[in-house]
Amino acid sequence: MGGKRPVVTTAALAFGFLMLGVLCYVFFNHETYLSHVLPQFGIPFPRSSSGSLFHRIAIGYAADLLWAAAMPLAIQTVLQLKGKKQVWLALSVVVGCGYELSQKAGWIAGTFDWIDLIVYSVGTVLSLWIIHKIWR
Amino acid sequence: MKKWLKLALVVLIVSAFVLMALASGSSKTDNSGSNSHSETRTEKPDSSNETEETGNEATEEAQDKDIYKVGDTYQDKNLRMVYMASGVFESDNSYLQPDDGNVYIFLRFFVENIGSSDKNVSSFDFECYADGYNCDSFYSGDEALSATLSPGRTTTGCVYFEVPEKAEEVEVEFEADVWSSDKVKFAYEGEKDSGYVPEVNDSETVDSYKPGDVVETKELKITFISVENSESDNMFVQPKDGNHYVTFSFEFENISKSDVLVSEFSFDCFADSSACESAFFRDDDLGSVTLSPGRKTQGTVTFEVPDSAKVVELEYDEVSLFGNRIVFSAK
Repeated sequence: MGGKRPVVTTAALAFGFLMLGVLCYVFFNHETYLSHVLPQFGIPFPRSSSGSLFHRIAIGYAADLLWAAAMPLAIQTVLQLKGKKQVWLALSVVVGCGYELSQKAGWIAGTFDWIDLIVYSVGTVLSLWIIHKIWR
Repeated sequence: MKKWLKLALVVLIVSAFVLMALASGSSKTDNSGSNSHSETRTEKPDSSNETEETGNEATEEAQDKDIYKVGDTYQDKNLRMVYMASGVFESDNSYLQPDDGNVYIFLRFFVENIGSSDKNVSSFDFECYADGYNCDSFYSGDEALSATLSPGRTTTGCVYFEVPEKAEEVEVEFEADVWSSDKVKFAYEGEKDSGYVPEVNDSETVDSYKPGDVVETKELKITFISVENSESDNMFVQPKDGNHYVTFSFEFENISKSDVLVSEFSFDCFADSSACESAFFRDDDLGSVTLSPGRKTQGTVTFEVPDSAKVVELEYDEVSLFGNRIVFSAK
């Protein structure tokens, strides 16, 4: 692929993943402000059954996965790395995993979840694969 | 694009993602703001006219304190606890009376699970010290704090202790973190009531299962047969005034290749998101049974729920890697 097309595609994907992650978090997490505001206007807010696959994926980890995937795409949009240099994008996994491990260490607020570590890694690998496909 | 500009943009992107993660993390773990408008302070019911109101409103936002008093709110990444009231508990059971010179006291808490995984809260998490000496717990109070809360669920209950009548300083410690052994101290303040009343949260679980539905997990095929109000003919097992019993019937089939334990203790019931007490008086109670592959069992689980409850939901805790909870709706 040549010209500006890879850049536009990468940027669009980064933006798309980012927005999907935000939507997942805002609409399906019963702890957001939305869940408190909507019922005040008579609009029932859905609290997902935690027994379903939907809950596990949408609420538990989809947002994290999408955000983890969006970051290397956003960085690639700026740096436009080619060939083996794209490996450097894998370092973005450090941000996600570092954040989670900081929770375990008690340096920042939040609950450590080792599945999140996997999710961040999968998101990054997915993103690198997409970048490789677009920029080869 | 110039190198320094690229570098700046990368730093900006990484910072934005970190900030986003922090924001999402803090809303998961420190949502005092989102909770602050989900609770109200109302007038104390007439029935509690023996207790004295503090005159101070229950604090809506959590505070970090050495010792919490009636009306204060403690919050960590998993739990939010409002210290609602304290006072002397009078046991009407002649066989359960404190030793001479002692009294039973209670501390009432509203507890909300603001974390992302199930949390157990019970009287066993509390220790009491009167003038520095450890006191016995009293487990036969009629509002004992005991519940397993899935995220977003709440419970209200009391912890009871037997303390010397003349004790000058009574403190109750709550073990907030089993791993770190961090303790949170609550001061017993005699007859005091903050007047705090949590607002009812009657939002429904969107994809809960209804009677007639069949749920398949990795190990079990669960058929939600029915839900009905039920009555106990045992004079000693009766619901409190304003409550009634709701009974859920199920069939379980082991569809895995190994034995599976099915137990009524895997169920938790919530009325308007607040935990309900289980009741055991029916002959067809589910009990606890280990099913061999291909085998089935049928049984019921019964809970005591308030008549005023709008949404009654039963959660089945599937013990698995993901700690799944399957939600069954009573309506």
